[in-house]
Amino acid sequence: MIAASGQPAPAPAEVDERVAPHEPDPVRPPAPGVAVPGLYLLVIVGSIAGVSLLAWQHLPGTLSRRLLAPIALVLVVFLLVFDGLGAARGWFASNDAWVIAIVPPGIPPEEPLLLAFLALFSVVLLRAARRLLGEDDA
Amino acid sequence: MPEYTATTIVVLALTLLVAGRRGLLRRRSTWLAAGIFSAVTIVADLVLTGLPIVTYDPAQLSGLMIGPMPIEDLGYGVALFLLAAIAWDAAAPRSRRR
Repeated sequence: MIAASGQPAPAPAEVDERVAPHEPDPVRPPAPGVAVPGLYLLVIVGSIAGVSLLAWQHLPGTLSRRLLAPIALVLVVFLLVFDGLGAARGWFASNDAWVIAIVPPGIPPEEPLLLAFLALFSVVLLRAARRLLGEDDA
Repeated sequence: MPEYTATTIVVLALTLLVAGRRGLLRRRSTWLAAGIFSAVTIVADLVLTGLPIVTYDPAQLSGLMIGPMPIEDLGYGVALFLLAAIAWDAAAPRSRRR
């Protein structure tokens, strides 16, 4: 390469991998080929809507105040014990290419919605199984 | 033992203990619903870990995997299902409790 002054341009500095080895963060996600921030949130909201509609149509009494107990307990235990602790301690990480934001210590806003959905889905499956097998719902 | 593995085992053991004491594990419906929930969890988790929307520090895992999904996630799902079932029954009107 020749610089404008006619003098050879200095060679780019070479990085000595033995001196400064590149150690990627083990939980940092790789660069994704496809990323749609918000799609994950839409899927969760759509799942909540779909399962709620099924419960409303086929399992009367599911969408009631009683449902607040499993949702609240799951949110408290799993958000604090697994997600809060796990994100803070680096067990796992969310890919910011797919979530709408990451709130310290590393939890996306989608997570509480996902947990609420999983609690709803658990109750719907439990009630459906009890009805199918002719068992009491308590 | 890796922290994620140890926490999953502890939480799963506690939920199994409480579910057992409340009679949930004697009911066929609990096992049927838990089986379906586990199957759905595996499918959804394979998508989450395959894209990936969530990534893990290998040092925090047992190393037992279902494709890209750590086995700990299955324990997480079963514990969550049991906790929701326990809370649902605990919140039943008194006249309907077994």
